[in-house]
Amino acid sequence: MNASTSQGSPESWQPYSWSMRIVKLGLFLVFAIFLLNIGMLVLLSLGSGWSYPRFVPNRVDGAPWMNLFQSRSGILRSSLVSLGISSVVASISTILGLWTGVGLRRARSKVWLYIAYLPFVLSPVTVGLCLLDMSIRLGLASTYSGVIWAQSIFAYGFVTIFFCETWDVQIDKRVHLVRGLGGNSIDVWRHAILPRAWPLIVVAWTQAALFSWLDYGLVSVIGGGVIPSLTLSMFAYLREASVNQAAQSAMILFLPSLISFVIASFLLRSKWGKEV
Amino acid sequence: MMRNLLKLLLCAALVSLGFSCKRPEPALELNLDSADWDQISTAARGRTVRMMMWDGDPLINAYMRDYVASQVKEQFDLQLEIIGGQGNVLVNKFMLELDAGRKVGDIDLVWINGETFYQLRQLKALYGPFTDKLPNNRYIDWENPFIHTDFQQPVDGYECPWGNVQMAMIYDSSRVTTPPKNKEELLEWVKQNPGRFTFDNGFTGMTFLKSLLYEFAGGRDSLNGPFDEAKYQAASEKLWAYIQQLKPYLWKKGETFPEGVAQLHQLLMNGEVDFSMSNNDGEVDNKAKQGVLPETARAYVLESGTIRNSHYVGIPINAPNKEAALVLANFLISPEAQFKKATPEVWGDGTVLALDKLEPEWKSKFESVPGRERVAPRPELELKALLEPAPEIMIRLHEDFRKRIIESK
Amino acid sequence: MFSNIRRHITVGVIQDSWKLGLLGLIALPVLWSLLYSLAFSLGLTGRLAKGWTTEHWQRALMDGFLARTILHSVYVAFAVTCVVAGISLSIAAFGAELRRSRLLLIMLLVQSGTPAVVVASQTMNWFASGGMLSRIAFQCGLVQSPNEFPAIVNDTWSLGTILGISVTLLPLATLYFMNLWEAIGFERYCRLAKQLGCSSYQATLKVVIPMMIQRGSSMLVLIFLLALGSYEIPLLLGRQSPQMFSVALQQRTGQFNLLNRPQAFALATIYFIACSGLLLLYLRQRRRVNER
Repeated sequence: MNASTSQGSPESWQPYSWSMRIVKLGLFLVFAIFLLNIGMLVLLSLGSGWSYPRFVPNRVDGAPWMNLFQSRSGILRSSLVSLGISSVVASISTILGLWTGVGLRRARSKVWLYIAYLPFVLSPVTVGLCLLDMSIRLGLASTYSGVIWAQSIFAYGFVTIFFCETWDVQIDKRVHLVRGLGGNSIDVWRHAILPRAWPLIVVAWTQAALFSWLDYGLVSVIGGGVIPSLTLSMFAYLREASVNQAAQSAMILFLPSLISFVIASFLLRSKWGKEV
Repeated sequence: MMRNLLKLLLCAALVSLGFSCKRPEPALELNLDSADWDQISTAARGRTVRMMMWDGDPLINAYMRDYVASQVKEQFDLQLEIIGGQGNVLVNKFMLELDAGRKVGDIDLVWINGETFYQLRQLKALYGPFTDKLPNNRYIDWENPFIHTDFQQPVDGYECPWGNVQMAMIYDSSRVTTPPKNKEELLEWVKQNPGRFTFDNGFTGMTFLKSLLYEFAGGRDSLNGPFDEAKYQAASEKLWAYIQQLKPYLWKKGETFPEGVAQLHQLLMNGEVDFSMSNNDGEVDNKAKQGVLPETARAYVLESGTIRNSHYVGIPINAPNKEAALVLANFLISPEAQFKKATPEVWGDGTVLALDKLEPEWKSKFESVPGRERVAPRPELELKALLEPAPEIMIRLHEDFRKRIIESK
Repeated sequence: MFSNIRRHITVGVIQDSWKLGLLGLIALPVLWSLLYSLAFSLGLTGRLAKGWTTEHWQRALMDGFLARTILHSVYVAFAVTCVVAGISLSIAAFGAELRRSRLLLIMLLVQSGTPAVVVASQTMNWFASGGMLSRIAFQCGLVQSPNEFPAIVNDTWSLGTILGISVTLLPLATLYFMNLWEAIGFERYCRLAKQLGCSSYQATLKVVIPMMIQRGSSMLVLIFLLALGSYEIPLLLGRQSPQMFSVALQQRTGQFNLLNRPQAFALATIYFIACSGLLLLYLRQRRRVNER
């Protein structure tokens, strides 16, 4: 964990040095809890039962994983489907959200920003049912397109708000510069907006993909249970099965995220590092 | 790098337009009213049949995905797809689909119980009558009142019985040597052991309350027949008075209840309470083997009786492959499939077949189903079985439990 | 002349095409949902609808639980927003090294990739009476049984619920404020404040954090709304009374009596009107502040 500064830039703002020590200690503590949490999930998923006051399962026999592999429950297929859908939702909503966010910043009327917030003021419990009606009439119910459409409503709204509100003012300056030098709209996007906005794009894409990856309500209602997402396979276990199966399901759901996020963190980190 | 990233994003967006509908095609037109079984099973060959069922139990899922799926593929060339969903999820889905005019749905067969059957009949969402088309229908114990009637409604061929269970109390025999046998003993025990008993806020908890309601209404057959408001009022007043007496001594002083039976099992496993319960009398064996319940868990029923009911499969009115659904339903009630799920290692679910209608070989197999170690044999429990009362009682119990117990101070 | 007009119109259409996105992808489905919800609750649609009636609205509004549920939901959402804002702002404002920490970034991203229901079950595994902390306390001799462990989940103050929802939303807010710091360049304001005589403490607390709150208020509003609509975590970690609005609504949506379903849609409509009204007030207020 190093504070990296590029050559020639002023040193980073640090309020007071003793607070840094506290903060570092706090960070390591949080990391230790984080690792303990993952460790507990791993341990619980490897056994059967967890009676009080044991720290480890009653029997560490790998039963949940053996049952999983023996039962041919299509986890791999579900994972690929979820990955595909979340990639598409993230891509659509990031592209549209970026375009809309940029447009929103220029707009005088805040009605458009209000519209972007609207998906989040719908009750999550009934929105699936109301959208199901619309999706049936549009012929999208129980289709991949329907699930992508429904999830994109929320992902697009979020990404729009995100871009609108976290816009880097340096980008606006670059836009003026490019236009001043005679650039057209394509040049503005290519040379002013995209190079600077790329960390925001990565964060937005990741958050939108996450939303889709973790979605259960929309995919179960709009997808009709027919679209085999990973959350559909795992959520029943999380709510209703044993603590061991729940731990196993939790790992299956967030382990791929862990790997992709480690990669994403390197990408983001390298971009932020360059900007200091 | 930016250019590549943009290209990737654009490609992904374009790919989305290429996703095609994954809607099942309806089977070829076959007049099911006049078709014989050979025609139905021939029409079903090579089709995919989708069954929506509760998928929260890994053993049941394994039975369906491994045994049933492979058998129907081998015997009937049917591809079985299991979809998770039950209760109100199912009802909401069909309610909206039919309201929006969706004539061809996604689901061919649904696993339902009395509540859902009642709601789906209200919505006219079930196809039927169909049970008399099934060759294995001849084995079903239709004389059994727990099978031909579901929540006091005649089944009328709109759902096919699949299994039979009875609500049982589960306790940890290492901490409780003499479990209470009736409501008086239960009240006494709870007062002497505060914080060690509770029931869930879900289906099983309500079934426990229904069992007690019978006691307060006058006994075994007191709630049979159509809903009687006066009888319900009189019995429920006594029930709520009884629960109010219990409440201060319940787990967390009755200020909160576990949301479902899975949480209740975990409380028993942790030693926070000494009792759990289940709608399936056979569950104690398979859950103890899975480590969900302690090895010392035992099950029993109250002297005053507990609710016994059957669970069923139904065919939605907009099922795209009704022939395949019929073939699957017929297999599920075959002696081989019924026997397979009767063993505790597989499921421990009671059969709906009349043993005296079976061939001698199957009869003796059913009579010697191994593995029931922690609960009395089913015939013994059946002596204390109560019929599910009218569905209106379930409605009222849900509402009144909230008003009279949860929200009362 | 006509080609100029055509070019202007084309440029205008392209530049305003984002409005089509908002209208088509958000406004239209939301409007449909609202109208469907309203129609269902008024008996105008639905398989068992009997025609126009305000009976479901009357029952939904007269039911005593509504006020308690709304108050409780607002309390939980407000508490979550305060917790999340406090922690995320502290990380962004106080931690120059934290902002550059790959470790923190990985933890935030992994946690943001954890579903709410997993967070709920993990919170149960740690903080329930039979959870890991209770087992540690038992082994240390601090408690003799799980029932002696203090109630953190299923408790009166919804501490477990607040903790669970905060853990779910914290990564989103933290990443946002960390990005905001980089985008706005708050370091310059801190240095300026220090040059003008502020102490480090004053600069951070009185200059930077208020600026970040003002600039990031839209994210805080979003956090509030997301917390308000939370379902899985309050279902597993909360009590049956008082309940959060989404849990109460789900129970009515799933009620056995189909004839009560319209009540759930009436409540959903109330939820929409209330939340969108609050949102509108907030956006108006923000615009007035910005104009000043």
